[in-house]
Amino acid sequence: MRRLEVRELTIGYPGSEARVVDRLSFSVDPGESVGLVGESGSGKTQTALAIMGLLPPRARVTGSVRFGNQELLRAEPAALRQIRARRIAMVFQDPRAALNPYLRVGEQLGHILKQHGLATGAAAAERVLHMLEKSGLPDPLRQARAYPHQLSGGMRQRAMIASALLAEPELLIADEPTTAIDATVQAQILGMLRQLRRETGSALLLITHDLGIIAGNCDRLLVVDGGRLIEAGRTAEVFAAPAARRTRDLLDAARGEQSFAPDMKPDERKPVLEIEEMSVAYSERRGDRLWGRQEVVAVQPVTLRVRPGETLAIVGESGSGKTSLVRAVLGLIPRRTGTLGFLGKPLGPRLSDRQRAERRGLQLVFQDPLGSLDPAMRIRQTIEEPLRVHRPRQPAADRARDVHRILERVGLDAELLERLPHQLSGGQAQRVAIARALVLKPEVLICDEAVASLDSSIRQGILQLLAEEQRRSGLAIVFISHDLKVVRQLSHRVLVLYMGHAFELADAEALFGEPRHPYTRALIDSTPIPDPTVAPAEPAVRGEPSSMLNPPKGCVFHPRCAYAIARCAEEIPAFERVERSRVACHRAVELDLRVES
Amino acid sequence: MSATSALGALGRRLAGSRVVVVSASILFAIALIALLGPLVSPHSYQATSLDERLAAPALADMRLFGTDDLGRDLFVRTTMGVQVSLLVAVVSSLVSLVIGVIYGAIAGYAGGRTDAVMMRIVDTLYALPFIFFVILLMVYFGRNFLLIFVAIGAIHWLDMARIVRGQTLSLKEREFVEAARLIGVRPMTIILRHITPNLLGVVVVYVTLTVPQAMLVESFLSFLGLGVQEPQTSLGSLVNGGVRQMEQAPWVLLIPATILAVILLCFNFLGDGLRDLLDPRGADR
Repeated sequence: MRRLEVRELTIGYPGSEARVVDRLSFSVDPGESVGLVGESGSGKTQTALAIMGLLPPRARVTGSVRFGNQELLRAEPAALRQIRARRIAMVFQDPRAALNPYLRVGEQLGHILKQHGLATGAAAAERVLHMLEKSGLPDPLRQARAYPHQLSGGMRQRAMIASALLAEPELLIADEPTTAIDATVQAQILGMLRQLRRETGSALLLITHDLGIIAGNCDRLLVVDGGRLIEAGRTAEVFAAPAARRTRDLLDAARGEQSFAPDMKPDERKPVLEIEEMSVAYSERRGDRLWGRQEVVAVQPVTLRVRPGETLAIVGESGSGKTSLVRAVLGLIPRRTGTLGFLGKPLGPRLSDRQRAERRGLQLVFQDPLGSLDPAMRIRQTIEEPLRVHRPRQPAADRARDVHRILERVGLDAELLERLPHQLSGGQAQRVAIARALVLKPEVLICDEAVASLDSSIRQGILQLLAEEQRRSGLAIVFISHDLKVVRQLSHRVLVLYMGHAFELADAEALFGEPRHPYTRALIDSTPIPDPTVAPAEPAVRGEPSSMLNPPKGCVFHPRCAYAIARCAEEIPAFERVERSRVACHRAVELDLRVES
Repeated sequence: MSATSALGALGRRLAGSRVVVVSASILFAIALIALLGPLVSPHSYQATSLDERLAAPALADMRLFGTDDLGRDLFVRTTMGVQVSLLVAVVSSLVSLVIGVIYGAIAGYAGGRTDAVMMRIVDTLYALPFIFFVILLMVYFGRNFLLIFVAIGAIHWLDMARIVRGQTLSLKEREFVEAARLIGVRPMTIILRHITPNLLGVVVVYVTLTVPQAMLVESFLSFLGLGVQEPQTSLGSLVNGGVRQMEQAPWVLLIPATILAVILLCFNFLGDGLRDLLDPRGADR
């Protein structure tokens, strides 16, 4: 077993003075697990690529990366090939991009063994199957014969980790291995990784932005910022007493203790938005027939009321229908059944059925701030556009004043007005998108994963901005997220969706303290706790969501549920009031799922 | 920032791209010589001279490119050929650009049945044999220089419409278009303000590819006797004529062919360079 030793690693690119990685030094001992933490642009991925010898040729690299007594930075390609996968393996963030779509999973993994002369033919196939089984793929024989696109995201990442550990490398580099994966599956995969590492004894360099993941998985921790190492130490010690200010900020953001939600008066004000038994469906071509389509119900009938000044969070994993629900509310996709009321008046199903004045009151902030701004339009034009549409006769001076006013409110500098979207940072772009949505003074702002793509420090600023707007104008916010930490910080009420079914609706405080649905509890347990003294929770959930094309009978969650009884497979539970919550579970009354704090 | 300084910024970016500046300068120089050459030269494009058939290029008597098999001055004829070819190519490309972008963007943005009907019309037109179409036009309207533009534009807009429609289909799913719809921007305004500017990169590249294509089609038509009529000429007809004298007088072929190749190359480079420049994300590169 060898030690990885990085000394004074510096990476730059021609045409820029800035160093992507600046004199970074650290080491990873055999069998050790080290976390490399930083926000986007901190140079953590560049470091990993440098170790693997995968940087583009134009990168200027100095310093040294030694593995045992071999220098990797100036190694010949042939020598590097001997090391990759066999001695140092890497797991990438996006398993779809890392697996070859034209090769069956088993074949691809077999190539690794063949390449390194470890096994061929039947022996290789045997070893691959064994590894796939250990990585928690159900029915490994079938999965080995499948093509990557036939696996779900979580399954693909398991296959990816299996391929990385197949040749029993001495060091595994995992770059954001679970960022693209649903929370309940993320916890399972991290658990699997811990287990496999125990068996093979390989060292781990875990690259992530999420300190919660570090806490349960790493012995030591390195914090990088702007390409420099700003803090290093044992995980427990750094968490207990962070030295650098940036580390403290990151920790605060990860703990998410700060609550932004303005106090709500318990008065039952007239709702601004009334969703009545609304369901959403799309039709999918049937794969087994030449003609004919199949209706897939993305959202089962749901009834919801949103009151002024409140934040309603809609929580769910991918495929839960949370985005379909709000897109139908906005009129971007048609609804299947039900009615919508806005300020007491009915709203048409399609955007084209709605008057311009009706569109004003419901605005949306998207997940990808850059994608939601026209790349060819300057910021001023983008923010002005709603005003031009709704107040075409407004004098230019008034319009400029309105633009400046909203810009100040979202905390942006007036000098950004002449920039193009790509010249902004992610946080600035999201503030522009919020400014565009708020300039018309809507009653309801819908945020679809609006902070999911932002770094944690910037995320806090955006949450604060949303809360301030709410306090100032009584704005109602519908906040879609898969991230319970963020939901906890901002929302008054929470709706949990799973495969299109409403599972639980309750006040935030009740839902997080006293969840009534096993799935809610599993979601809570799946959120990594940024505290190294607490063992990572093993959520009581198995496998991955079933296919929407062929949903399970009875409760759609029962195949994954640890508390399922015979009745769950037969009968769809009703969405009923249980004490302070509304829950769809047959066992809601008898189960005690309280979170002890 | 005012409009003039925005133009100034674009000008600075243009000046920063070597490929664009060099190829645009070459094209400009060729066009300028083609326009001024006939005024300077003492010869006419149609005067034949039996004594001077297939004369080699020489400075004496301003026979810069020599003469062809009828003793006509090749320099003057080449300048005329460049004029005609460039005019046909640029005008027919513009025709195809305007029709294709509007048609494709509307079909793509409207989607559904409108899109299906509009694109089936395009498919039907595609299926018409182009040469029959041109011959029919010629027979019906008589030989007319203008008709060449129409005929060439009439086939190229089909390609342009398909490309623009495809791009529009992906653009209209983008979030910034949805944001505009939620605000209440009218569909036609969305097409003009949000879709078209973001199509520019692709469209410009495609136009710089249709210009050389149009030049080739024009020379093909001229070869069949359906295009430019003698004694008028174009680069394509000059090359066709040159092929017959290739062995005795290679310059009759080589000079117009080289100029044609240089023009085509310049347009291709220009397209590549412009695409990089027109991408707003390229502004800081």
